[in-house]
Amino acid sequence: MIDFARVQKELQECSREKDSSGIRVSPKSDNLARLTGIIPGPLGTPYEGGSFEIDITLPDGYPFEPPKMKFVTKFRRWLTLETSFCSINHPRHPNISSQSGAICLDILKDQWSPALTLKTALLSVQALLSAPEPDDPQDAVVAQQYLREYQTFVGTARYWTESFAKASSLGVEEKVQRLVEMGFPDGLVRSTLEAVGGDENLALEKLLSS
Amino acid sequence: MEKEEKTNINIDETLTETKKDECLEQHQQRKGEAEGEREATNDLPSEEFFDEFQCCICLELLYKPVVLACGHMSCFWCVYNAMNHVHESHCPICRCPYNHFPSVCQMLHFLLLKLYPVAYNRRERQVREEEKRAGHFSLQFDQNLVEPNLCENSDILRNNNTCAHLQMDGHSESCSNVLESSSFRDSPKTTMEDENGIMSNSESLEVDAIALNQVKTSLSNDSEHRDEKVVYVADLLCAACNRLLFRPVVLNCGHVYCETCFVIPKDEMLRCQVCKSLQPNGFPGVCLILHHFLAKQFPEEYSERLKEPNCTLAPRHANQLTSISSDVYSSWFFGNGPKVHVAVGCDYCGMSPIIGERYKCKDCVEKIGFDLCESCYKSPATIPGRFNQQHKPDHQFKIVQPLSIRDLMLRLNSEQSDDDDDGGSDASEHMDGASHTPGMQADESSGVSQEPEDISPLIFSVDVSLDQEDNSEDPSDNISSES
Repeated sequence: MIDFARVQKELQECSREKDSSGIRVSPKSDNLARLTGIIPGPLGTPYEGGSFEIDITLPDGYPFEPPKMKFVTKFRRWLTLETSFCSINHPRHPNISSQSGAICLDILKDQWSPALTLKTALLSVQALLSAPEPDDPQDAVVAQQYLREYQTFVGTARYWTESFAKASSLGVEEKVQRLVEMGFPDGLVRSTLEAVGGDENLALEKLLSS
Repeated sequence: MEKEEKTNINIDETLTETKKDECLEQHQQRKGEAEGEREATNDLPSEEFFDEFQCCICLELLYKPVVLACGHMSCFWCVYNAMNHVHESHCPICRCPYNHFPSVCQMLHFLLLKLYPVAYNRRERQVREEEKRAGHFSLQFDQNLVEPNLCENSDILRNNNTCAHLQMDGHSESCSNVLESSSFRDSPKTTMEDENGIMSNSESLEVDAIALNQVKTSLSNDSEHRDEKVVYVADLLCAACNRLLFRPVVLNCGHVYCETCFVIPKDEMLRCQVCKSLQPNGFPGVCLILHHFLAKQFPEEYSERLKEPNCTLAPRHANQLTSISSDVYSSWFFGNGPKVHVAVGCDYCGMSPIIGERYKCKDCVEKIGFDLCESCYKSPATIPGRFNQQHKPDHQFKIVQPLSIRDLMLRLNSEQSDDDDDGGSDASEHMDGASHTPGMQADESSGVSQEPEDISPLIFSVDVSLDQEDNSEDPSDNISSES
């Protein structure tokens, strides 16, 4: 039996304090067992500027069992070589599955404590974004990239953030369009943009030098 | 703040008025009570009112606070639900391991009742409803013995309040249910009222009038210096030095001492000086919430205590290690260690799960049962059970064997296939009907008297307590063998 009185209190708490964390929680439906959380990408990381949506399902034993959290997976229409089947709006991160959005975080599993709240759990997820643990990966491919080609990882992660999780709609499409108008082929523009992390000027430099 | 106080007074007035009605007329009583309750729930003091005494688990005002060995506290039921019951448990805040469920800290209970009478009484009603639904009850205190002061008055208010509550329920629920729950309530009081009937009612009416005045005056004083007027040094005394608590520590039994007053004896076995019960987890940590509260309430006394020489001693750190190594629990799976009784706790020392022999009371009728660990069985104390069991010294015990993993699997399988009881066992080895899911309640072995169930419904939804009696070994003469 979920302690709905407590969930209610948590939601009140979240809506009351407007702090700098920018974390928000809102119920999906009336029954309060399914909620949506939003965390902004932490500053100084490839996820900066992004806004990530997390799907929260409360188990029957909440708060004595951990809430189930995963990043919302929304497939986008555009297809490029690099992101052909995984154009998804969750962060590209060693501890987050790039397929399902599942989060590998101990406090959401065996280290859960009933003194933690939805808000503190979301804060921990946000902290996980700033401090990845590639030694205990959820997504082995991303973890390998993180360990071996760190710059590529940062570039890709930033590109994902820019293209799929940008709060403002001024996204990649405009940049692609502008660069294509300069006479570069569409596919090359997209892959170059991804490689430099979505920075239009850097992409232009790279396109010119190649 | 002042506005809040005013609404408070109003609530108290209406509540007391409804009390008078109760004593005089039966019909108006029910109506008035309902109104009073509605008001009480609507005009609640806001949350900021008790931020420091908020339970970290239910996020409400602490109700029947339990202080863990590390000094962190939660409500009685919150701690119980957060405990592991199969393995050692961990503090929700600091993850400090513990394996004893501490008793409710009575001093804090009455302190909170005094500080926030309205909110605390609302919590009491709320929790009692939940307890009735679950069929498990928490310990009720005999308030008269402990707090003779203003607290008693509010108790009278509260008691009448709950009495009316019960009578109301009586119309909707079955009669037996009401009888049962009223016997669970602090029994001395109810019996007293039964004997004197109307007489005591009229008395309590007078007391109510006085109580009303006192509450009024204390609350009007409160608007100036709320906290200082409500709480006195007399409410917060150390059990050893009888002075104001300084850096309070709460023992497993719920008694509170100054950190410096608690002397560690030579043999390193800590014992409470009041109830003589053993302190299982070494020296407890300072309850910092209470410490800060005291420092704020009594700044002069506290700064004086700081100057005293013995307070400059290096603070003893709480022994963060439990007395039981975690290997013990896993031995249950392999069957090569001491017995581990999963989901069964000792009702005196609070050890959960019980390790070693388990002594189960045969005469306690409560659903949750009454069990003791070996050491508590050998040194009988007179403290009541944690779940308000009406255990008497003349009750008989029997030894119960823990479930082996094989039994557990068998049990789970037979539950799933909805099989009949295993008829091979003798009559006393029947399955407990009490914790079955309602669908399965049509008990297979209905001919046999049912044993009270002691497994928390939260741990296993299916019944795992296949009680096997060990008739072959019979170490104590007090244990009668059922055959």
